[in-house]
Amino acid sequence: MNPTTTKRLGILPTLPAHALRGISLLALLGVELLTLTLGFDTQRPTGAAPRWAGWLGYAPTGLYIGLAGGAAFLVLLGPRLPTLWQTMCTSSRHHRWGLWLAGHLVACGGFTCVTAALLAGEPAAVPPSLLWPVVWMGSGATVLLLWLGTLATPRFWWHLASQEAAAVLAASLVGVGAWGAGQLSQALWAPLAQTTFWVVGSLLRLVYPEVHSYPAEQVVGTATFEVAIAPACSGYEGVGCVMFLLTLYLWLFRAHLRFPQALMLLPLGALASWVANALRLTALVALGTSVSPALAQGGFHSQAGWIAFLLVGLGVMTVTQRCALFTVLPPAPAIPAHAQYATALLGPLVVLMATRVLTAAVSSGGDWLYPMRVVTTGLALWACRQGYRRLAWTWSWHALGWGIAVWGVWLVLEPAAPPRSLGLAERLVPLPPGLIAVWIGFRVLGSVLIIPVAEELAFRGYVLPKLVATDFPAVRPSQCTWWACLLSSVLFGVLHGRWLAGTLAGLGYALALRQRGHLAAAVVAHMTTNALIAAYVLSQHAWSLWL
Amino acid sequence: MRRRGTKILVLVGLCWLWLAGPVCAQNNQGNQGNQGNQGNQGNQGNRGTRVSAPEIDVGAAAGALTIAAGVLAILRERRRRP
Repeated sequence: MNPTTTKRLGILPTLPAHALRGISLLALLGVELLTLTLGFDTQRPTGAAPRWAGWLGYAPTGLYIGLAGGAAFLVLLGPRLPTLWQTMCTSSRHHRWGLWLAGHLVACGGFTCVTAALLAGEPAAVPPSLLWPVVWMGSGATVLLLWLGTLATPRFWWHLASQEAAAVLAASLVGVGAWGAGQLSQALWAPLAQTTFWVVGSLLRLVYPEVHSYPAEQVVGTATFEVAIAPACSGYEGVGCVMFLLTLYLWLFRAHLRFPQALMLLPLGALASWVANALRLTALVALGTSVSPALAQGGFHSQAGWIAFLLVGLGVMTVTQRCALFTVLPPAPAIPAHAQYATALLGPLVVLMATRVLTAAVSSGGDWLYPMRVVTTGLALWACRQGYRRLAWTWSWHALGWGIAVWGVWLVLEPAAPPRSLGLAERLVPLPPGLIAVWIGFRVLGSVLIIPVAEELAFRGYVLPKLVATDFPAVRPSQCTWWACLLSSVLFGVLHGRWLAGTLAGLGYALALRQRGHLAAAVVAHMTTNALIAAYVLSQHAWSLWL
Repeated sequence: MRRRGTKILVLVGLCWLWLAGPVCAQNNQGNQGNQGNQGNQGNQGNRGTRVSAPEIDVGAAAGALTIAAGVLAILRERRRRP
């Protein structure tokens, strides 16, 4: 079906055959890799096996370097990828890939047999001949080469290797460098944990006269509350997350930042993140000692790391936007119309999530501060109301139908836990009975009226058209493609922590938008789903659906 | 769209790589027999309550990442020329 026909009929264009084949082959390779890596252990004790059997233990390292190098190669090719994809599709038009696929499957079977002979039996039963590891590596390489041959012609790969030799070399170096950095960071884990341990102990001594400190166990705290600072808690995770966010920021805003000064943000961000982690641990002990151990172990324990990450990462970004040392030009005082619209679309969801993170941090169990989300998100929607005037707020029976369909899918994929195994007061809101009614009122109000609006404005109002064109306000719902609908729905599913049900729900709302041609259809569909879920929860006591 | 889709896919892939580190670190901790990693180890006699404190709780990632992505998008829109 050609694009003109799909446009005339108002349906989404189908995926091209090449894209389908590429996705299927990627999935096949992923399944093969998972089967082999989960099925065989290269790290097992070699015992009486020949000496070369120990070398097989380096296979995961090779796989790691290969994956990191592959990812780096794709990033390096970045802007040229669409052109290369077109070239690959053109050159592979008459490619007889079926034969290559058959060869790949046979080779994969052979490789699995050789691997099983080397790794599945007793170490003493491993054949002593040096030919075996050679056959193993040769068959592994053959599997990969035949997979590449299935994807495109050998001529294409040869041209790619010739034209992009520099990128291949750079990606290989990045792969090895990533592995080396991983090894180095693991070696530095213990010293960093000791430094964090010392700093937390010193900070606690400023507040508490008696501080317990057990250096051998890396445990520090007070008489009533102690924290074990494992290497993973020493600050590396936060530093890694902040470095990633700031690298992304430097890339996205490269045209507006001064280089090389802006590169200073990376070490500054890493240092700030490490300090924030030491403060987090100190606050954890102080909270557990002086306020509530349950609160410290509950929400604060889970959310404080993310709050520190957001404060450091977003703080550095916001400050540098206005600092002449780092930015070429500060943002114009008058906010462009499209930016105001984007803020109106995204702002309520950001406020909703910020409230969720903050209220979770001060909750020791249950979601009793849920009404705060309703209030803050409602206020954000009210503050941005000027931005919604361009949207046609109407409703239709079709939107209601989409909402009911999504509700049915949701209940099938996310069945409620048995009612008696879960009490509302036990799990959701440890509140007195009188306040539970108020809480339920806010819960229904939020899930039926406020949250659907905030989520649809962000996902179907901004993310979906943004995936179609940079100038997202100009994108009509009928122009939204399959890729954009699918990707925005996957992100929607990730946000809900329910991959499949969330993705299908997102697709349903995207199709409602596309069919009716206005955002209100997606909002009405979402509201309908949530209203039916609320009715089901209240009538069947299926509280787990509100978790 | 294709170029934009490629960029988004690369970014999503990088996000996965980003999350893979903490996930592996937490799994490794669990595998190494670090009892009570995710919570309270209970009362340790006269030593009070002892907890281990993983820095990043992957289960709570969605909210924080949504905020970071939302703020980045808003800042970028402010810099984009119409």
